[in-house]
Amino acid sequence: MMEKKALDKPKIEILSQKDRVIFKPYGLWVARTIRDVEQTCDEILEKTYPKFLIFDLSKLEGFDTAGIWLLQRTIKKFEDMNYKVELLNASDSFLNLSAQLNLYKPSFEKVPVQRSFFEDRLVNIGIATKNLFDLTVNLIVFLGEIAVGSFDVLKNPRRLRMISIFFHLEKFGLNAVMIISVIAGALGLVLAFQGEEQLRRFGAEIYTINLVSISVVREVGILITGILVAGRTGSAITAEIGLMKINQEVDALNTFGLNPMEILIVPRILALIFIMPILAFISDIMGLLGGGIMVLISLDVSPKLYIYRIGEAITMGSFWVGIIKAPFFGAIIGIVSCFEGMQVQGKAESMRTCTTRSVVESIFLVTLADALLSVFFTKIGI
Amino acid sequence: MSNNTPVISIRGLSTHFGDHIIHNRLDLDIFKGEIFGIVGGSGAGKSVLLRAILGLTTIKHGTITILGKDAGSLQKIMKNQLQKHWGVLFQGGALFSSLTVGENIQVPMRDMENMPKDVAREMSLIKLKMVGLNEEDFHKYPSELSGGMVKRVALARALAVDPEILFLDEPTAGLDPISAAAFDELILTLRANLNLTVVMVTHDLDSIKRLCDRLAVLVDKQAVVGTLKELIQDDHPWLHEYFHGPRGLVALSELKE
Repeated sequence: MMEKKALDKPKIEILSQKDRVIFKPYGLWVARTIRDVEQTCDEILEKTYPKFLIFDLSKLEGFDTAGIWLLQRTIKKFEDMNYKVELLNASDSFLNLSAQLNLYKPSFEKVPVQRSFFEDRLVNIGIATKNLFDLTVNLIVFLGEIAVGSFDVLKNPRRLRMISIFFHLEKFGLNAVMIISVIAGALGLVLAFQGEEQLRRFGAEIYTINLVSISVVREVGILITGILVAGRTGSAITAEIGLMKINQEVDALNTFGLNPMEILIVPRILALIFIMPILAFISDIMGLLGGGIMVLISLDVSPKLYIYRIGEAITMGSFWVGIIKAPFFGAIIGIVSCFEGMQVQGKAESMRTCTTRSVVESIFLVTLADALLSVFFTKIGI
Repeated sequence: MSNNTPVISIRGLSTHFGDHIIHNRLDLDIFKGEIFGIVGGSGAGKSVLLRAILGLTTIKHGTITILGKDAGSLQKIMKNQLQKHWGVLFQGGALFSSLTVGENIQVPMRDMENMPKDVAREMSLIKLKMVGLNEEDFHKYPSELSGGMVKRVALARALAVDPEILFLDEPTAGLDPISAAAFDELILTLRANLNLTVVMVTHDLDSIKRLCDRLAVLVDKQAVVGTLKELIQDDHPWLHEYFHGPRGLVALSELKE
């Protein structure tokens, strides 16, 4: 085995005669051994020889395009140095292949020059600006299309895809209950733990219950639901619709004269609007439950007292302030993720950018809307 | 053309898809230097057979031997370093979408064979021109290419390190007749000069007539093997329909006398 390896290794034997030098390449001149081939070629190129050079290929065991290319390159370099080079004992397939290679000789000047780093940045800024503009225009068009689609459905309610809505209610709602419960519960727990730690310094640890219940019901419960749904369901919607676009399913719908807005988009957005308040409610309950567990452990209050204090702390107004945000969040997530899904074009890369954008934009908009609504509700005194 | 040691030898291959049996004790030998076609109806298991040879599908029974070495699963293939001996052209091209054309062709050169950077660059340009594209396409991304160009780049990538066996999955599907004919000629030239063994899954009767030395037709979960002339004489109903149907008649008219 070792012996065979040694034989395979490409090398060149140099035989000097009086006015000429004969190079005898040995071994395998293939892609696998190309590092050795290049080294060998570089070595023979370094020395000086008489005017007349011969490459005797009788001992060449195997070659492929890579090997021939390097041999050709070496010969070319010799010729450029004014040597006279001749090939000896070249097999037919060698000559064929090297003739082929001559046809395909690469010319590097023709390879387009890549942009410099600075140019590249500049071009990227331009592209990003143009994209932003296009996206804004597209979003306005999309909102218009949704409005038209919804209006069509409203005019003729039988065209509302009930089966699709229920299917999505299950996928977006029921299947998300578990993860939302767990995370809302954990958040309530943490909130109670940290709040109690701080309030104890004033001897006001009993107000932990107020802290937990108000923050969960007004803000945390609904916000965490919005963020989770944006990440979980929003990305799924974008990927699903994006795949339908790549698969030309959306085009197919259009050729049937069916409106993709009506069939794909409106049911999803409606399902999200319906399901978000329910998810928010579940999230509220689980948050209070998590907080309750912590409170029961560290404050030594009875469950009955805990529930009683919650009733004192939160008004019906606070509860509704939280829940009323949910359909807005659902609409935001639905519109953004469907919009980004429809922006997918042709190839898989745009799927990546659109899904990322969908999640980032939904979370951003949900948080923004939450802040604005909070300020609004506080101002009007609820 | 063929000598007696098969390059690929399949014995008693059975594969299944859930409860659905696709191949049942299938035997097949592919010899050095031949262009071997795999044909069959939709769902007859052409692509599954190719995937089984490449180790991409788990096989239920049977052995696959490639270049005298055990294959049939990715582990065995990696152990025997078989992936260095073949190039694969996937149906959709399967170019890496995040790499440029040039980088795609250099993947096998740089990552498999550890070729120096400048040689890899030169070789990738040569391969690119070999498949009929030119230098301007070097820095393009796959998303900027047309379907035919994707196929050509994928072929260049499959040929990157001069494999001994070239697997083609529907190479001419989706190409216009002129490009398809050029593709056929390209395969013939490459075979003649690079001593290639070509295994191709195809539906294109013109390609089969022009290229294939022997064929395997997948019917009844088995492979019927022979030259095109022999198979035309075969009286299996599916084969008869395939070669003597309206499309077969046109493509193969001069072979039938």
